[in-house]
Amino acid sequence: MNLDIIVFFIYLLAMLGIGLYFTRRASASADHYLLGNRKIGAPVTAISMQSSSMSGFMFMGGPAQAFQEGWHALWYAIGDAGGSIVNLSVLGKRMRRMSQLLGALSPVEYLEKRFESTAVRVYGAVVGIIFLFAYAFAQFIAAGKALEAMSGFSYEMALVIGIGVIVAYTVLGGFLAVAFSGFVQGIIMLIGVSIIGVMVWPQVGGLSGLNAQLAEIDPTYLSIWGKDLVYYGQWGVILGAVLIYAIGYMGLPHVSVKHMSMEGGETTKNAVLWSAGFNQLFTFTPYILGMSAIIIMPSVSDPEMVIPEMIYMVFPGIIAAILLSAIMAAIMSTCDALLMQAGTTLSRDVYSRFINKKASHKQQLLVSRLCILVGGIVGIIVAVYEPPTVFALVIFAFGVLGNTFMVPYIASVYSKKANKIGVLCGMVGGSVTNIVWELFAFQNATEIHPFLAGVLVSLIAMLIGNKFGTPPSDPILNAFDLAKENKRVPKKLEKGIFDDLAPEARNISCFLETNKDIQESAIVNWSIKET
Amino acid sequence: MFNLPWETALLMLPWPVIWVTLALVMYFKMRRDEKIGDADE
Amino acid sequence: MKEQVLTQSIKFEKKEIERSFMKLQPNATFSADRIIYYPYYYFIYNVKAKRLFLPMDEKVGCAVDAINGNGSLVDSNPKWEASEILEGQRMREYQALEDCLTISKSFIYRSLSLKMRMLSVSHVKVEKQHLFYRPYWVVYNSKKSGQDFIVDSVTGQYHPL
Repeated sequence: MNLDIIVFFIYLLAMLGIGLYFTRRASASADHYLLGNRKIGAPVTAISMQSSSMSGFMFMGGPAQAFQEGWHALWYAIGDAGGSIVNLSVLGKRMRRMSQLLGALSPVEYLEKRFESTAVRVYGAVVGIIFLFAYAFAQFIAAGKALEAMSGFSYEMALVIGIGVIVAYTVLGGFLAVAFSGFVQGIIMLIGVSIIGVMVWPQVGGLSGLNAQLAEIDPTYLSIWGKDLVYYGQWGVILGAVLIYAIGYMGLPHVSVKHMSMEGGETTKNAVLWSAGFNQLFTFTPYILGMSAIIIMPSVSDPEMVIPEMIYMVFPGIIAAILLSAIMAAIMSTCDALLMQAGTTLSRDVYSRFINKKASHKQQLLVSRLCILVGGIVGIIVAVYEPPTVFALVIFAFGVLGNTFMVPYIASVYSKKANKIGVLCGMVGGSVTNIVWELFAFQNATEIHPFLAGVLVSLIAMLIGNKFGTPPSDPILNAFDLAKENKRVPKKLEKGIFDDLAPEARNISCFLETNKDIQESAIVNWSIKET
Repeated sequence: MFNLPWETALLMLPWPVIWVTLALVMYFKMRRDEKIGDADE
Repeated sequence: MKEQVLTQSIKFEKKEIERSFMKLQPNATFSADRIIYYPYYYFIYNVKAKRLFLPMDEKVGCAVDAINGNGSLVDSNPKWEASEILEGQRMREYQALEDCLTISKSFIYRSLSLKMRMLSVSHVKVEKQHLFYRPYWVVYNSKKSGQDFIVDSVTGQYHPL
C-alpha cells in the first residue's frame, strides 16, 4: 500500500463522515434526503450537481478525445456546455407540469401514462436499464484508471477494487449524495481544475501559444474537421457531435418526487441556472488541457490518463492524491445515480410487473440491489477483457438513450396528436438506428453521426407510426392542454406559479364548475390511478 | 484570433459567449421573478 | 350544514393575497373569493430501516391526494385544528382510505430505497392515518379574460385555475 491509496481511503472516510454528520443532523425530518437540498442555497446545490456530472467523461474521456483529435473534439464540449440550458427551455416547465398532472413518479412511467401504453414502458425500461449500465461501465473504466494512477496497482487490480468500492457504496449508502459532501467535493475539483489550468496556461503560452504550437506539430489539429481532416465536409458528423449533448440531455431519465410542504418551502429554480453557469467555466477546460498535453506531455501512453498525469505533474504527491480521490469520489456518485436508476427500473418496471407480480416491497428492494451487484460483475468483465474508450462508450450510451427518449419526451408535450404507436416506432427506430450505425460503422460510409441518424429516423418513424395509432384519450388531451396553457397569465404572475399544485387546481376547477356535488364522472375521467 | 484558422474561430469561439449570455439572461430573469415571488408570500 | 373536520390553519389572509396579486398584475383587480377545502389522507409511518452506520428509526409523513390518489411527502408534524366548514366549501374525497394506504405505502418504500438508500427495511408501520382538509383560496380576476387562481393558504403557493 502506498501513501496515495491511503489518502484515497482517508478521503472517502472523511466524505463519509461529512455525509453522516449531515444525515444525522437532518434526520429529525426525512425531508432532507427525499427532496435533496431543498433548504440549501442554490449555489451549493449547483456545485454539488456539478461535482457529480464532472466525472469520468470530463476527466478522462473529453481530454483524451481532445488529445487525439484537437479542436474537433470541442464540438462535444460546445453541446455539453449548452445542454442543460436547452433542456430547461424546451422541456423544463411543460414536462414537469405534465408529469405532475399525470402523477408519474419516474420518466418511464411518465411516458407510459402519457401515451397509455405498457409497451412503451417496457421498451423504455429495457433500453434504459441496458444503456444506463453501459454508461456506468464507462465510469467504471475511468475509476479503474484513476485508481491505477494513484495506487500503482495493475489495471485489473485497480478495476476490481474501484468497482468493488463503487458497488458497495451504491448498495450500502450513497452518503456522498448528501448535498454537503457533494459541495465539498465540487469545490475541491473546481479549485483543482482551475489550478491545473493556471499552471498549464503559461507553459503553453495561453490559447494563442497553444494553437501556434499545435499548428507546428500538425495544422489540422486546429481544424473543426478533425485531425488529418478525417471528417472534412461532414456536417452530419459535426451536427451530431454538438446535438448529442445539446439536445440529448432531454432524453435522459431522471427521478422526481413531489413534495407538499406543510409549512412553506423554497424553490430551487436558481440551482439549474447556477449550474448552467458553472458548466461554461468547467466544460471547456478539460478539453483545452487535453490539447495542451499534446505539447507538454506528448509521450503519454494512454490518452485517457492525461489529466491524472497532469495532476501529478502540477501538484505535490499528497495534494495530487487528494485531487484524484475527489475525481474518484465524483465518479462514484455518478455511478451511484446511474446504478440506482437502473436497479430501480428493473425491479419496478420489469420484475414486479412481469416476472413476479406479487413481489413484496422487500423482494423489489432485493432485486434492485442484486441487479446492481450483477451489473458490477459484468462491468468488471467488460472493462478487463474488451475495454472500449471511456469517450466512445459514453457517447454510445448517451446517444442511444437520447435517441430512444428524446423524440417521445418532446412529442409528449409539443404534439397533441402523438400516440402510442408513433412513439413506440420513434423509440425503436431511434435506438435501433444508433446501435446499427455504431455496429456497422455507418458513419464512415454516410458521413452522418450515429446520434444524428438516430434523431432523424426516430422522428420519421414517429411521424409514420403515428398514422396507425388511435388518438390519445380525452383525459390525456385535457392534460396536454393544461400543461401547455396559461398564456393569459402575465409574465410576472406566471413565474411564481407552483407547478406541484396542478392536479389540485384541476380538481378545484371541476368542483367549482359543478358547484356543489362533484360529478363523479369528471373525476373518474380525470383521475389516472397509481399502478 | 488565437492563431486559429478563421473557420474554427468563427464557428467555435462564439459558443461559450452564446451560452453564457443565454444563461445569464435566464438567471437574471428568474432572479427578478423570484424576488417578486418572495414579495408575494 | 356545518361539519367538524380536521384542517390546517389559514396562514395567508384574504387581504394579503389580494394585495400580492395586485402587485404582480397592477391593471387587474383580484378578489380572494372563498376558501375551498381539499381532502388529503395523511399517513404517518414509523420506519425502522437499516443502512450503513445510521440505522433509521423515525417518522415519515406522507399525504395522498384523496381525489387523484397522488402521493407526496410531507413534514411529519403538521399542526391540525378542528374546524367547522360549510358543505359547499368542502370537496369530497374520491379515493378510499384503503386504496390510498396502499399508494402511500409504495410511495414510502420507493422513497426509502431510492432516495434514502436503506439497505433493508425491517419495519414500516402506519401510526396515524386520517383525512384532513387543506384550505385553498379561490382568487378571481375581475377582468373577463383574466386568469383565476388557487392559492394554497398554508404556504402561499399558487396555480392558475
